[in-house]
Amino acid sequence: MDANAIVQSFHPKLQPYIREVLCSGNVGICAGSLKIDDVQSGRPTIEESDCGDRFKLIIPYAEVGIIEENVPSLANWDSQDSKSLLYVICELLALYRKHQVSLLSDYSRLQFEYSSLVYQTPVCEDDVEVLIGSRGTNIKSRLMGGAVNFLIRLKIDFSDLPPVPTGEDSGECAAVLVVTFHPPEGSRIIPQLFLSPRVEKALGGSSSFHLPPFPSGSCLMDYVPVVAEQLRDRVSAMCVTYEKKKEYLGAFCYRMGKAMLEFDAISFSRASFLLECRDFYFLLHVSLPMHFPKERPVFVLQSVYHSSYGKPFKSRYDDYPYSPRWDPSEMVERACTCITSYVEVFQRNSIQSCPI
Amino acid sequence: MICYLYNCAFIVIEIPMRKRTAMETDPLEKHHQKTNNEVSEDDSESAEVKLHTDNLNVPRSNMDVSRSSSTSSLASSSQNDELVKNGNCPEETVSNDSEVMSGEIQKIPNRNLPAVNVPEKIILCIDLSEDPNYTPFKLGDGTKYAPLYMIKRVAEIFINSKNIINKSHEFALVVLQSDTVAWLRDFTNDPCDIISVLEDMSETQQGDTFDLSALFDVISDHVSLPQVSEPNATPPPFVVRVVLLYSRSHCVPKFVHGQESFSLLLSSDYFTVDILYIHEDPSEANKCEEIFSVLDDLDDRGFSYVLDVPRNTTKLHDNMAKLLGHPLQRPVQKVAYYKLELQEIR
Repeated sequence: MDANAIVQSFHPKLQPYIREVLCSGNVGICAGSLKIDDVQSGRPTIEESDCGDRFKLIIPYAEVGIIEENVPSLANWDSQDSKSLLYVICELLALYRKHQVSLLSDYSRLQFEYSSLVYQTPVCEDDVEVLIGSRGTNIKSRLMGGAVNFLIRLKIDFSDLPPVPTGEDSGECAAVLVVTFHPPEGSRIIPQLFLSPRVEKALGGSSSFHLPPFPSGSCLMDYVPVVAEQLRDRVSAMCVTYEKKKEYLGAFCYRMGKAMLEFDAISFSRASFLLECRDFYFLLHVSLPMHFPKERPVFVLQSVYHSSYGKPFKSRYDDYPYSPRWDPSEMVERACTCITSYVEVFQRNSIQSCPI
Repeated sequence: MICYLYNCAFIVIEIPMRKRTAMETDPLEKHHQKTNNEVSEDDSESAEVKLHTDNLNVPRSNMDVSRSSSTSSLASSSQNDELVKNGNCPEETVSNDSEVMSGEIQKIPNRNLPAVNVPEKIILCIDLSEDPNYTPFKLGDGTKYAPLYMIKRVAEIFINSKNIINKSHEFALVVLQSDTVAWLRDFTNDPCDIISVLEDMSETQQGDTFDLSALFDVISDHVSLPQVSEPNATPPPFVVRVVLLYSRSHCVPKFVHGQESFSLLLSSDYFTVDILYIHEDPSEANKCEEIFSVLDDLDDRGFSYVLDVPRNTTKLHDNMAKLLGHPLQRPVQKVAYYKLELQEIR
């Protein structure tokens, strides 16, 4: 499109400005004028002229040579490869990352944080992105006033996490630690942990993992490995818990699977049975807490006959022997023996509390 | 019983058959495999097993709620009846049952669906018709209640219990009036929403016929069953279950204008019909046996629960509770066994 056609495609009020931009000749240091591309309109329209109000501005900056050197996919553009644009973007991103890191040289503390993190811990360059925050338009304030963010991708093996049910979009597993230094040479350091939905769900929700606070006087080199280690421990604890829960519910199924009403087939945390003792029917709800087997299972008996104000009579039963060291079938057997003797008490209580 | 936990996503429960007498030569596993491979043919046969005709005992007193022993029920699908007769675990019983069922007992219907507790959309179909000469339900202290009152009570307990088990389950309400069917409340997972509508319902007269076509037409109009591309591996987003509480002793239900809607619904693995038939004591003066026979024959796939109960308050509550099971996870009706003691099979 020639310059005039481009100008015409804009809204009349914008046209004078666009004309100046396109005809101004060299703006920057290197050869080549500003270019405008991808003119679009913010409002729905089928007209092609007099309505554009947004566009892409291509600014030649520094030397094209430098760009070409560091963006090889751009210099060697392969129009046959559909990934060419992707490669260009990745290379530009890498350049940008390096650029941000280079800005750190203005802050000795942060420079140290970065180099010690990248060169003295298992964290590598590709796992860290730095962003120098910008506030205000003045260059000086941009560099001095804003906070600096370190985004650190934690390398954690999530392969043993409990699987998601087939058909659900599991998404990827990722854990990113964001540490904000605010102001750059200051003492306010705020860590945050971002987990991908799949990981968060598997660990038991957003509040299930508590990020340790950043100790004052500490540095990334010491802090990041500690966080990674704790997260790793949590993941393996969840995997162990999941397997144990499955075993336990399996033992319950062996014991009373023919009385099964419903069980949680995703995390194996709950099961409900309909049981009968001496012609008295009742429901048994078994639930396994997050820290099972360290925490004991919860049994709730519920009446099928009695309710008050619309709520069926329920009673929680805790007085049964339990040890996390027993194997599942022993746990279940002992619990069932006690429940059997408790049923009579439950029956009496439910009749008394909610007369029909 | 053997439990396999596959891929952490579902449990397959294989239930061994009763102990065989010496005459049986086929090994256990072979029969099970046969069931799995020839599903379509075997299913109809297995569902044919009925023992009902033997159990029309003279009803005994049903005054005491907790110890009532009225046995005038029409179905003896649960082993509890055998317990009353023999006092033994069903597995140890060598009774005439084994002759009746020798060829067919091995065939427990099986379908290869992931046993995941997906949300249920439960359509409660409550029969509002009342026989002017009804026999009331009695409690231990002698107070009497109309059948509809009791039915509402157990429906309420059912809804609340399902909600306690899993809050994702939803309920809709359909009522069977004299000879029409009305869809009164669309699906909701708030028990109060549906119970309040139920409470307001009052009895209607009992008509001469009840049209099953109309019932399933109405249901068909209000539900769409999920389609899943790999049903053996992927659980559906939800399943639909009709819980029909039919309470007429003189009116035989019929498909007046064809079974098209019904057959279409039944063609899906994610649709189940459960029936609780509440009736007078069967006698020459009523049609309870014929009605039960019609209801029992409705779904021959073998995964429904069809229960019946006479005017026995305890058994009404017990049987309604048996309908709490999730259709993808509960055992097939004829193997369901609820006794807490001596439960496991080593």
